[in-house]
Amino acid sequence: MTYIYNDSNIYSSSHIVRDPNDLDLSNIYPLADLYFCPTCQQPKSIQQCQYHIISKYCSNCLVDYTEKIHLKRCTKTCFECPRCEAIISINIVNHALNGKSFIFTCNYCPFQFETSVIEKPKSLHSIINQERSEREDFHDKLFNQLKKTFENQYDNNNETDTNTNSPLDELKLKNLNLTTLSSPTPIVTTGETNFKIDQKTDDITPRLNSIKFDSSSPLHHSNTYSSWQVNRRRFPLAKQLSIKYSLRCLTCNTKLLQPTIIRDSPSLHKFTIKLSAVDYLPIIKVTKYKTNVYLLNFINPLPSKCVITLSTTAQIPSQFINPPTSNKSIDVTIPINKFIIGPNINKSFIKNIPTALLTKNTSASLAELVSRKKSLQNSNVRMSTTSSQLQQFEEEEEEEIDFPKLEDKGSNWYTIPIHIAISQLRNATIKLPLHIKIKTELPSSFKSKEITAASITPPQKLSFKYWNIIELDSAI
Amino acid sequence: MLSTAWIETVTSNRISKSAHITGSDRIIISGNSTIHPGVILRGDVELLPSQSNPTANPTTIMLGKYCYLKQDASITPPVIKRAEDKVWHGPVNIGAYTVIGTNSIIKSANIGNRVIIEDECVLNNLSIVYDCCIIRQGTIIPEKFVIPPYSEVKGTPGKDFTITNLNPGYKSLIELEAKQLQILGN
Repeated sequence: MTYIYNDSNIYSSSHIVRDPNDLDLSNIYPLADLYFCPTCQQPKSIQQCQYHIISKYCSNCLVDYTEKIHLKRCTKTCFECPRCEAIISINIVNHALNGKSFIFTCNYCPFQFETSVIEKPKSLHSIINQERSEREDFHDKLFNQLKKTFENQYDNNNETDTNTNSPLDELKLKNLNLTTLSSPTPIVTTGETNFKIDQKTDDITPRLNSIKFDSSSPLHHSNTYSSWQVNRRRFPLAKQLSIKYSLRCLTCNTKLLQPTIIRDSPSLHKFTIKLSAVDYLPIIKVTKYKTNVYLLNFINPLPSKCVITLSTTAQIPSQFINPPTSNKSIDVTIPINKFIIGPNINKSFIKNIPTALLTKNTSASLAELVSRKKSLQNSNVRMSTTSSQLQQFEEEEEEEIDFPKLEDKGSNWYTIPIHIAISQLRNATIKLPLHIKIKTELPSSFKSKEITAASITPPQKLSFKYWNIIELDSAI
Repeated sequence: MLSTAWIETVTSNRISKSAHITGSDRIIISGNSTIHPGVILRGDVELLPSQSNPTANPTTIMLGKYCYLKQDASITPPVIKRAEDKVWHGPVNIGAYTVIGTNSIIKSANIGNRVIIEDECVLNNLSIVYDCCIIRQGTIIPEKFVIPPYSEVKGTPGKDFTITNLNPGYKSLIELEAKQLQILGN
């Protein structure tokens, strides 16, 4: 069992889906990558959140750049290799007449860069910028030409915009509503004038052809990494800054993530508000019991008990089967579809692990496994983990396969069996769409006034539903 | 896991008898940690003497609680100074709830709390990994490189090296993962 490498994903989209055939598989995320909005009562992916940078710092020298809004790279002496992004070491070489030159050496690849001799004190960044302008090569010339052309184009467009100001604003608004995308040549009627949007505006080929390139400098590298072989002058890059960010729900503006800003220790990450889905949605772990029978283990992370109602289609839709099948159907049977999971208040970690996930690899796990099996058999004998008793238990267990008794529960977990009829389908990977409805009390952390916007009243109870896509092993 | 192949300490550390641990008097293991067979811990290296306090504690490797070192992982304190025929190392600190994968080579100066280093990774000399990071399988971290907190790192520098933000939800998951590995084994 593992929490990080999860076989259970969650469908998260603003579009509510009732039929599993309509589920868009590109909107499926691992539980750990999601947030939970208490106001909308829905799991939220990062695409459904508003992103705001709270703090910027250089992870190498730990200088805080929060107040310098437009900076993206460190302005101190932190440089990274333009080829491999590794940190660059800087050495100083002394020359005659108090001249100095700087050698930038990559710690990982053979990249090396030496500046010309400097006689007046300057920052390393200005030295590199000066070198860059002096040693402009074909690629730089090309880039500068393109930049100039596009800037001119942009300025010309802006002039046109200002001439037809008021109708074009309406045009932009209508385009934002995406009302005209279906038309092959979109025409927006403003009431006064018709504007035809030229789809060829973004075609850069004529403009590229109009730029005269130096024929002695061919373009012969196609991607970043092939440039290892290209004999092109490269310059050290300033280190990219790291960020801390806050998130708000796009629908209701509820704060989902708010980092704490601690002065003088920018690398310290703490959060005032952190509404991660792992802290509110049950973790589902799948174990294979035997052919066609799986155990679904639900683990409740909340400090209050929750009522779970499960539902799925009688047959798994073909889009969830790999390789896809058109003529074969896979029937699913869930014998228990409503149950209550206890709260997560037990401090003993091992008690919070479902029995199906316990192993015989360690003495602690084996002792717990024996203890639970024996208590299930209503034995009054005090258990110990002597080797003879363990051996006896293992022998008993091999014979014991009792399907009706597979339902199991503990302090904050519940195990239910599911049966998948796949007798005619071999070596297929199946994803099981499971609709989960949860009812529980509102955790005290949600009652904080900082989380919800002033205009929105937080709900009194949590009651939400979502689609969970469970990946079953290669079915045999 | 056969109990005869393992040493269990009073602080619930489980150490394989097949692990190659040198300089054990200079290694601190906090508790509830597991060290698998074939793991190399080089505690016998020479530390660069501190100028302010030459008689300071000469601990070379420090492991936090719930550290899980998988088979054939190797931890060597980072080299901080080289002379003609001598090499001086610095101490390495590995935080709590850290999992180090099979065949991974660690020469970092510091690894934070709640870090997962998957199999076959190489963390080069004096690299630093802050709290709550996942280093994916086969990643190479260059010398002196700093991984910011809440990062997912994968790839080889110059080819496909990427650092992306990690959701804060991973903090509790990595902790649970490390605890569970200690209790359930691999």
